[in-house]
Amino acid sequence: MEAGAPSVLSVEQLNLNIKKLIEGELPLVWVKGEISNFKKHSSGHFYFSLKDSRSQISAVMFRGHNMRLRFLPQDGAEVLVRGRVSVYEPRGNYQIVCDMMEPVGAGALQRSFEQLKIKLKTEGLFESSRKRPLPSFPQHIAVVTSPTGAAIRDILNILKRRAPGIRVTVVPTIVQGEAAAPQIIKALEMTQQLKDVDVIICGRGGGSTEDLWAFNNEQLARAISSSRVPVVSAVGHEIDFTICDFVADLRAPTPSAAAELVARSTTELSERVLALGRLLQISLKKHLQSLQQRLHLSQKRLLDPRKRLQDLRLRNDDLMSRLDFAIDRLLEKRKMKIMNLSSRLVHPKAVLEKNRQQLQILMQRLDRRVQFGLDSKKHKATRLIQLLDSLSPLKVVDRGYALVTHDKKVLKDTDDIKVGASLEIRLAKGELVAVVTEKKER
Amino acid sequence: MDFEKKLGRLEEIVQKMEKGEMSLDESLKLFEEGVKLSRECHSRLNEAEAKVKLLTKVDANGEALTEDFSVEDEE
Repeated sequence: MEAGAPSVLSVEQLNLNIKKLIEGELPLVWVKGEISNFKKHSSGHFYFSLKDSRSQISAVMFRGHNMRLRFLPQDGAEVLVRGRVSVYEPRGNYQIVCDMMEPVGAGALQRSFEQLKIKLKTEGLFESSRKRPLPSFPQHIAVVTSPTGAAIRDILNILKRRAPGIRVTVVPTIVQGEAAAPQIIKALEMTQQLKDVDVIICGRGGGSTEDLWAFNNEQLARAISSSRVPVVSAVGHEIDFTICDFVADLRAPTPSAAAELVARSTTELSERVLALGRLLQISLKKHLQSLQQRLHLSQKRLLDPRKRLQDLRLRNDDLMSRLDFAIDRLLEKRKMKIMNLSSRLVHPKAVLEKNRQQLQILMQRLDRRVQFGLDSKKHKATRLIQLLDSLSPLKVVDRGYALVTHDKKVLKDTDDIKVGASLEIRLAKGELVAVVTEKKER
Repeated sequence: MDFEKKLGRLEEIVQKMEKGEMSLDESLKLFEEGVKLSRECHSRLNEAEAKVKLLTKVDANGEALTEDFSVEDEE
């Protein structure tokens, strides 16, 4: 133990120092080792140990990075990892945090793949602006692939089904092995010389990384990149990515997919053409109809004045005939009335004559009446006079009777007089005065 | 005019006709053209004969030498 107070650190401080040291000093490292105690955590992170015959180190590969792995690490696998050593100070342990991992052996290949990728990318050969659109209706397709094998068979089947009329030219080449890349390049060059090719499909069926390796060739990538016709790269399966895929105008996940992407279904197109034909007819019809309508309207308006004239004429005629008829009737009525009246009309002379006649008659009647009246009165008078005359007592006396009176009262009854009374007796001639000497009983 | 151009022109014609702002003469002319195009497109589509060739060589003049191609049967 040394004299003097040593600086005393806390555990945390110590660990932090260690962390600073290690993380500061050690750069990104590549480590080769064997995987053991591999565990894939539910979070998706890989936790394992890397070991060699004498030593081991804890390792972790987080999900973000291990997602990109195209293989699942296993215990016992020899791998090459790239990572950073990191100290976890709460626990005082360290591990290597890996961001890349590849199986050893594949390592060299993988690296060269990555390097080429970066190189070409930097040159801008992957830019989406470089990628040309495929023709919508290709008439002639060139397929650079093996003339045997599933790829060409699938492609041709799909093309036949979807677009039977399309011309296909198969440009044969081998598609794996050392000699493949140059052959594919030559095939592509030949294809460039074909006139009227609309699109090129270049690819092969599925296989291992080694099988597909020809399509990672730099010269081939450049050849594809400089094709004057759009190239669809169709290599292997969905998960396989080759340099050609990045550099082509379009990547198809499989050869079959390439065929589908390239050739729109003829049925679809047929229907589209039919639909357009129909629309064409409909719009012409509509146009004609609308013109016809306008014409019709104008015609109608044109006709109207004449028709109206006709209508008016008819009306006029009708009214006139009714008027005639009405006038006739009226005249007839008047005529009748006049005739009637005139028939009842008497000439004033006639009236006068009539009146005169009447007057005459009346006067005659009057005369007669008067006469009659007079006559009758005369008669009456005469009769009365005669009567009177006859009644006259003098007349009675004339006939020999005597009028006997008593006190100037005429005597009719004997009772009315007493014996001895004096009486006046008037004779036709002369008068007597007498005295009653006796009453005789009747 | 290739198929794509023909189809494009046909679509153009239909659009114009649907808009309808043209004289009777124009629309009749366009209609005629449209019918012709539609027939041509249709007959091209109906060619059902799949023509598949194998390219054997391209000669000096850029002419392709081809032979008929048929897929070999799988074993």
